[in-house]
Amino acid sequence: MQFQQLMPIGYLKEPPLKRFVIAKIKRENTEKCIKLYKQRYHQYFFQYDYLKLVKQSEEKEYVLMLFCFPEDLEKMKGDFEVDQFLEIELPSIAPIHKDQKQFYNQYWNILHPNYEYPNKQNKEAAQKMQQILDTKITRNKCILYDEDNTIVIEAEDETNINNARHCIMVVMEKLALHNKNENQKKHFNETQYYAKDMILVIYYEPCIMCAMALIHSRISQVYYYQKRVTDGGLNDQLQINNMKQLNHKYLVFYQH
Amino acid sequence: MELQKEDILKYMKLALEQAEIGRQNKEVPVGCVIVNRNNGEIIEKAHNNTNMSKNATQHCEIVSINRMSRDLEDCILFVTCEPCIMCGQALNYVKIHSVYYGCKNSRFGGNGTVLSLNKYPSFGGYLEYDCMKILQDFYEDGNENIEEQFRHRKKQKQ
Repeated sequence: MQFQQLMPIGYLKEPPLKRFVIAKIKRENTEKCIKLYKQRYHQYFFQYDYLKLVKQSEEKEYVLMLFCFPEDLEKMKGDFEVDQFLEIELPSIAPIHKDQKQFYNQYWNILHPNYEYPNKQNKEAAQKMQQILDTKITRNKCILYDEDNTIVIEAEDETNINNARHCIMVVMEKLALHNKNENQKKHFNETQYYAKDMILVIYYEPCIMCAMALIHSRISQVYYYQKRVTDGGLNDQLQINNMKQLNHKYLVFYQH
Repeated sequence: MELQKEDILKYMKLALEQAEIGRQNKEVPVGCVIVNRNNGEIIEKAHNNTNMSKNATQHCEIVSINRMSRDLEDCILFVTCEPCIMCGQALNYVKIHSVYYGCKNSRFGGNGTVLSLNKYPSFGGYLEYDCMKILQDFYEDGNENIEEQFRHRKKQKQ
């Protein structure tokens, strides 16, 4: 079973742009210019280290070099033998996934970055998901476990009691019971009452309430199988796990 | 029953009392009261219970919803701090009639601050100063349940 990672909203759209000044230099001067530039201004583009310094121009005898921002042009242009300065717009944020390469390549050459996504998946998630799919009674259930399998907790929906008792709320109660047990104090002492470094496998996508409950519990990874029609909290429209205002983020994978 | 301003303040004071009980138990001081909308009878009171129960989802709204275990179509909730995203959505699920809250919750608020989830009418700004003050006092000393190194506390002036 293959899972796909939930990506931040709008990552496959055109990146935001910022104005840069590039220098058009003769091909035979390239090495000299790069050496001189790196000596003097080697930290100048440290925030934009995903952009390569040079790019082949459309005219064969010229090379384009990333030079500076428009406001610094007057100060910096004295020392270099440059035929012409051009202003262009380049992406102002680093690519996070290799699928974005096509967008970036039309602007400038991209240095091989450490892509933030996709993240490594947990090996046991597929097996645990199969376990949920195989149950005959109900699929409204979830499994919470940690990486070395010392804690494995299963829970089902209890919406017969009230409408807010989804399986994630139930599983958190079971985790609390586990932590209250004197014999398992070790987990509690290490992580307080949180589900830190734990992984949740669930059949239905967590709703908004559950997605927030997982933030309060500081979960690290969530895997789900089926998208929710309404009130879903972890899909392409609303991503509670990636919201900037909230104090925790977690990784989400789903079945395609 | 028509809710007058005095009634709202009366119930908010009761919610504040719950928050104070929470603070004495070293919980984050947020409290709530659930009132029957037809006769004004107090059905349920609760305060945050996250540290005692060792469960991060035990906010006062969730505690009282779990204790009631039925739909709350005829109930009004009074709470000192704006319900968080989780509680705001949970109140949708149990079909609460309306919500009155004290101060805004700028980090997690689910009734207009961060997200607007509420399908029920929700009114804020009752006893806002008192509700805010009790939270500020609590965080001034740092949350005692968290270990020293992880506490977010204001640096003292020297």
